[in-house]
Amino acid sequence: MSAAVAAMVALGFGVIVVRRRSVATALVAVQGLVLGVTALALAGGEGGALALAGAILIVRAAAIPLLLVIARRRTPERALVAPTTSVATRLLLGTAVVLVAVAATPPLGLGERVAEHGALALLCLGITTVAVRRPALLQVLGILVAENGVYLLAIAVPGGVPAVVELGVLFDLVLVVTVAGAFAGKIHERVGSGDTDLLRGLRD
Amino acid sequence: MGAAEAAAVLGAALLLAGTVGPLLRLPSGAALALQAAGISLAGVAGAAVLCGVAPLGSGFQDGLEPALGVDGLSGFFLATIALVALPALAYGREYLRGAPRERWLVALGGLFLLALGGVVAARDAAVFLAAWELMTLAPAAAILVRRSDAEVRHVVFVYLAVTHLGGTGVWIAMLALAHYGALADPGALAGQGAAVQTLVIVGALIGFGTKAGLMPLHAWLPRAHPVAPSNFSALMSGVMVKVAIYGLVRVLFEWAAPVPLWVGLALLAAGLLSAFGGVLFALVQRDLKRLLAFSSIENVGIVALALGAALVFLWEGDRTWAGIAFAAALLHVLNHAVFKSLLFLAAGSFERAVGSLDLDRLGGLLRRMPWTGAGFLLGAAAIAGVPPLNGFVSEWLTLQALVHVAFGPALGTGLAGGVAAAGLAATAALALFCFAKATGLVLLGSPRRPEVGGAVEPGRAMRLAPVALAGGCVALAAVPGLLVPALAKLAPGAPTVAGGAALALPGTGSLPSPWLLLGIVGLTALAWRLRGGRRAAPVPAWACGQRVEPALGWTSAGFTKPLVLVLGALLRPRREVEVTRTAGIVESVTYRGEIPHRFDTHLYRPLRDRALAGAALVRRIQSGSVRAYAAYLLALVLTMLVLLRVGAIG
Repeated sequence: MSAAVAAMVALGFGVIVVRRRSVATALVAVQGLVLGVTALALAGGEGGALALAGAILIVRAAAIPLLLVIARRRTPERALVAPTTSVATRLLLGTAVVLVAVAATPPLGLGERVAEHGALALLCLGITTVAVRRPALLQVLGILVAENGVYLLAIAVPGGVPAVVELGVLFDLVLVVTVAGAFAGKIHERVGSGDTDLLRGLRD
Repeated sequence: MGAAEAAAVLGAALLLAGTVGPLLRLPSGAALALQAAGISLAGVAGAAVLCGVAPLGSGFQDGLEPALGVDGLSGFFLATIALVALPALAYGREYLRGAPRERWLVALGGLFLLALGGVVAARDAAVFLAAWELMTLAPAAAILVRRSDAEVRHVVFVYLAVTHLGGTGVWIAMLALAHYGALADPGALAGQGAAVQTLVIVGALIGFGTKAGLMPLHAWLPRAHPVAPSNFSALMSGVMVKVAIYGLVRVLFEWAAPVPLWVGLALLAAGLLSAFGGVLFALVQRDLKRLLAFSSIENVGIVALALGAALVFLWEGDRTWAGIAFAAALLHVLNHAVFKSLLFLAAGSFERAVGSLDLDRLGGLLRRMPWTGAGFLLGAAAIAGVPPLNGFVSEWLTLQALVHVAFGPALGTGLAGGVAAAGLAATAALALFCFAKATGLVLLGSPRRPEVGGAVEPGRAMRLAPVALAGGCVALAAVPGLLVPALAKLAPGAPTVAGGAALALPGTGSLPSPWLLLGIVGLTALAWRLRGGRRAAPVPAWACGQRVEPALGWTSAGFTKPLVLVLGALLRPRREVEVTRTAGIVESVTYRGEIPHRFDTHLYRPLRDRALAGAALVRRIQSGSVRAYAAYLLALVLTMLVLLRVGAIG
C-alpha cells in the first residue's frame, strides 16, 4: 500500500513539474494504472470487486488518457505557453503544500493512515497543479490527480464503497473529461491557444 | 370526505387544469372558465369553514411532508381570493383577448391563483415557502410577457430584488418555526427563550411586511403594480398584499404568540407611517394606477394599525377588544380587496379606452363610460371611507379600537393609541381628498384631451366586473354585523362579539349600518321623487367672465397645491419655470414640477450605493483567473485541514 501511495504522489509531482502535455498525460495514465492495480490487489479475488477494479483500471489507465490524447491532438500549440513559475518554484511549492497537508491530516478513520495521508497529499497537489499551470489540458490533469487522491481513499476504506457509487464516480469522471476536452477545443478554436490566462478578459 | 372537502379538492383540480390547459392549446376562454370554477369552489369551501364547518385536510406540521388544509383563517382568505378572482377572471376574458402571448398570460394568471391559494392552504413550511416564491414570480413573469422594454425590465428587477431580500425574513421565520416545532404546537416557541422568538418575529415583520408593502419596505409596490396587466394589478393589490398579511397574522397571533408589547407598538408605528405616508404620496401622483398603488400602501397601513391594536389588547389581557380589533383588520382586508380590485379593473378599462392614465389627460369619463365610471365612483367613495360604504365600516371599527387603546390602563400604550387614532383620522381625511381628486379628474368635467372625448365603454365582461365588485362594496356595507362575530372568533381565545345586522361594540355604542344605508337610499329616492320632471338648466358655467376653456380646468398638481404648500417641508416639491423672453416680451413659459419620492432618494439610494461600494470591494478577489480560483480553493482546503487538526472545528 505504502509503495503504491508513494508512487502515486511521485507521479503527481511529475505532473506539476514536466513541460510537455503529452508526458504529463502519460504520468496521469500511469497513476491511474497504479490505482487500478492497487484496487485489484485489495479486491482479494472476490468476483464483483475484481470486476469493479478492472473497470477502474480500464477507465483510469486507458479510456481517460485516450480522451486526453485526442483533446491534445486537436489543440496543437503553435508556440510554447511560457510557464509563469520555474520548475524549482513549482517543485518547492508542491512539496510545501504536500508537507502541510500530510502534517495537518486529521484522523479520518477511513482506512490505513498512509492512504489518508496520500489521498490528501494528492488532492492538494492536484489543486496546486491547477493553480500554477496555465495550459487548459494541464489543469484538467490537475483535477484528475486530485480525483485519483479521493479515489485512493475510497478503495482503502475497509469493506469498500458501494459498487453503484464507484461506477457512478467513474461515469462522472469520463463525462467531466469529455466536457473539459470539448471546452478546451472550443477555447483553442477561439483564442488559438489553451492558455487559460487569456480568458481573464472574459470577466464582465 | 365531506362536501366542503370535496369542493376544495375539486376546486384545486379545476384550477390546475385551467392553468395547464392553455399550454396544451385549450382555448383561453375555456381555461379561464375552468380557473373561475376552481377558485369559486375553493372559495365556497373556505367560506364554509369560516362559517363553522370543521377544518379541512391536515393540521399544521413541522416536518417536510407536504400537507394542505383549510381552517377558519385560511378559509376567510380563500373566500377573499375567490371574491376578487372571479370578477378579475371575467374581466381578463375580454381584457386579454387578442393580446400577444394570450395563452401565457392566462396560464400565468392560473398559476398566480394557485400560488395564492397554496400559501393560505399550506400546512407545512416547504409548501408554504414554495407557494410564497411562486406568488412572487408569477406576476413578474406576467409583467415581462406583456411588455419587456428596458423600463419594465428595471421595474421587475427592483420588484424581485426588494421582495427577495425581504423574503429572506419569511424563510428565516418559517424555517425557525418548523425547526422548533412551533407550527404544529404554537406553545413550543415560548420555551425556546426570547432570542429565538425575537428572530422569528423580526424575520416575519420584515419578510411579510415587504410583501405587504408596509413603509419603509414598500419600494417595489408603486413601481410594480402600475406596469402589470390590469387583471394582475387587481389581484396583486387586492389579494397578494393581503396574503402577506395572512402570514403576519399566523406568525404574530398563532405561531409566535404570545408576543411582547413592542411588536404591537412596532406594528402601530409601521401602520401609521404606511397609512399617512401612503395617502400623502398617493395624493401627489399624476398617474392613476400609481395613485392606486400608493393607496394600497395606505390601506395596508390601516390593517397594520388594527393588528397592532389587537396585539396591544392581548398584552393588556382584553380578549374581547383584541377580537374586535382583529376583526376590524380582517374586515378591512376583505373590503380593501374588493374596492381596490374594482378600482384597478376600472383603471384598466379607462386605459384601454383612452390610451393613457395620466390624470391631466383624462376627464369627463363618467358621461362617456357610465357603467365603468359609476363603478369607479362607488369604489372611490368606499375606499375614501364615505359612510355608510364598506370602507367606512372597517375604518370606523379600527378607529374605535385605537381610541379604546388610547383609554387603556398604561400611559405608554394609551399615548401610542392616541397618536395612532389621530393619525388614522388624518389619513381618512386625506384619503377623501385623494379620491375626490381622482374621481374629479378622471370622471367629471370635460375631456382634457381630444382622444378622451371618443372614449367608449368596453364590452360586457369588462363592464360588469367592476359593477359586480361595486355591488360587493354595498353588500359588505349593509351587513358587516353578520361577518364581524365570525372574524372575531378567529382571534386568539375565540372571543364572542355580539352579532346581528348592526354593529354593536361593548361600551362605545353601535353602527347601525343597514339602517344608515336604508335611510340614505330612502332619502335619495325621496329627493328623486320630489324633483319630478325638473332638470338642471343647461346654461354655461360662469368663469369670472372669461371664456370657459379646457385650460381653466383643474390639473392634478393644481388640485393638491394647497396641501403641498402646507406640507412643503415634508414633501419637498421641485419645480422649474423657464421663461423665454424676446425683447422683454414673454415668448413662452415652460413649467416642470415633480414631487420626489423621498424614501427613494433618502433611504434606498444611499443603501444601494453602500451595497454597490461593498460589492466592488469584494469583487477585487474575483480576478477572472482560473488559477487564482484554484489557489483560493487550495487555501480553503489547507485552512480547513489545519483548523481540524488544531481542533478549532469538527
